[in-house]
Amino acid sequence: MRDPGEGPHEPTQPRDLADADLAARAARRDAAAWEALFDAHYRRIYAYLRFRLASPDEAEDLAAQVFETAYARADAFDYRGVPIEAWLLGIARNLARDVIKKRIRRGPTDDLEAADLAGALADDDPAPAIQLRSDLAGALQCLTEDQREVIRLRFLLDKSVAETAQLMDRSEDAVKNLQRRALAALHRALGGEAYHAGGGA
Amino acid sequence: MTPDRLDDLLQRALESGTIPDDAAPAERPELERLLAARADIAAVRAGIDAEAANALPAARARFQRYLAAQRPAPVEVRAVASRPGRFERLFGGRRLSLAGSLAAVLLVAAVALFVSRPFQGAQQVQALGVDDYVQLTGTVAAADASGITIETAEFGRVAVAASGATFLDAAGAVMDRPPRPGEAVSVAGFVRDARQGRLAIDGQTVALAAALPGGDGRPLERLAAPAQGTVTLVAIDRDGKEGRAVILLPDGRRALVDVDVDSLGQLLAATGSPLGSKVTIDQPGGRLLEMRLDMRPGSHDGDGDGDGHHRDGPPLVRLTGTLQDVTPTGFTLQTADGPVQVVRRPRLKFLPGESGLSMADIRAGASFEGYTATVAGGFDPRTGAFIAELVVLGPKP
Repeated sequence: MRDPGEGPHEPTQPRDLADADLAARAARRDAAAWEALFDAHYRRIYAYLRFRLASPDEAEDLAAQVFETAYARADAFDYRGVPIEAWLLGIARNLARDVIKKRIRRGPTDDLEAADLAGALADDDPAPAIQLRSDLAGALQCLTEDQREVIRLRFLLDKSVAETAQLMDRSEDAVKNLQRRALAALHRALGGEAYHAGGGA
Repeated sequence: MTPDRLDDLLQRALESGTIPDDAAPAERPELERLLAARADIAAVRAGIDAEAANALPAARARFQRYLAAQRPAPVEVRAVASRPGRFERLFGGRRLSLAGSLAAVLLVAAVALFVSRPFQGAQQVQALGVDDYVQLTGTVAAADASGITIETAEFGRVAVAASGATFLDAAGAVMDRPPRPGEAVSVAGFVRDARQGRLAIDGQTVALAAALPGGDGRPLERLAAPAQGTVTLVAIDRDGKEGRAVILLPDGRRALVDVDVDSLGQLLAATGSPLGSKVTIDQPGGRLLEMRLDMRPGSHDGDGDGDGHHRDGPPLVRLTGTLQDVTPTGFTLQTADGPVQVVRRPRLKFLPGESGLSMADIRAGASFEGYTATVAGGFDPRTGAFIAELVVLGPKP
């Protein structure tokens, strides 16, 4: 089954002609187009992966693999209004999932998602911001995968509700509900007061 | 207070940064808690953004190398006029009788056109690919602590990363300074970036060398027929399956030749570096051209290197012997004059030569213990060690 964001979608709104042109050149494996894509999207792909993986080195390596995989599959990419970043994020999601699954199969690990934000960084750095990161890492473990994904897309990558809905294959209302429940769960896990409002997806 | 209403209020608060005016007093504390959790994430994000910015340069370089590996650098070449091919001889030699049918003539003409088409006019061909082992010559255009830029006849300016390179003087001894602008050098190393106009090499050895003639300035030509000339560049791909050379022809033209890797290995074993060597390119029956040292009478007078062939190339010292005590960092070469301690750099190029090993065996970590070998490089007078540039293996004695 194809992940949302990795396959072709019919356009839902008019896309920028420059983006379409870049996608067409990328599909032809134009090297300059790929360099432009890399510069435009690398940081966000890295950030997305870093929020899921333990070490910055691993995130860096996997982010590079995202672009190499995308280049290798360039002729299979069907633009048709799909933002290129959505395609790249779909590849990143699958690569990260594979890495985490392999690690789980190898044995006990606490590498899933946010636990690893603390791993390499918090232990060695007493700075308050890093300590906060460590707390947050633990809190994120209390969230469901969908809740973590909405946190990543909405607040780490600044995706709009509509974009997040498209990437997660959900309705916009469902995304709004997920983001509220995710923030509430996070607040709760961080030691805040009990959250009283319920309901939703 | 319903979930849908809270979803809507939160979304509006996230967009505006403030709690909407129409939020009821009972709703405000909950919205404040949600916004506080969002602020915690923002603190994490700042650190990740900084990491991403720091990672970008190295990641970009890696991706550029990946792109370059997918699209090896083309170089414009033209074909050297070759001997008439079979169809041309058949057609030009009037062996077809006039009684032959018009259809047969047209068929032959069409085939002859097809066969000769790739050799007409300029064309783009692969000259170097990423991770090729290459030896080439040029003149230093610029030098600093991190590397040098050389001007080459084949590719124009080439960047050479020299932080891990060994510098050799004109006597083949290690020197402690990089070459200076204006000095002619030979460079041996591995292609890091093969894109046209951005060619870059991770230099292993940079040696002062006599300047070789640059040719008449015309584009490289594709050589597909026997010839004689002087070697100005050699390259072997990572898998050791493809060899290429640039030959300066007697009339000043420069030609790119796909050569049989075994013959190139023999040439490297015989010379250490064949740059500047006079060679004969021949095709004794195989598909690939073979390159061998030119042993024509009179070719070794004056400026030979003692091997009986004419060369005017880099001063690499060449040792032969048997490999012993091989470790990842070095080995002993048991020569006729006694043992020599050889320093082995991490990317030292080993060629299988006549050892019976394959390049796959070598990459898989096959033991070299007991094999004969020719080792090219230079002596470090400070330590007495020999810094190897290239090893061509031979059979076990």
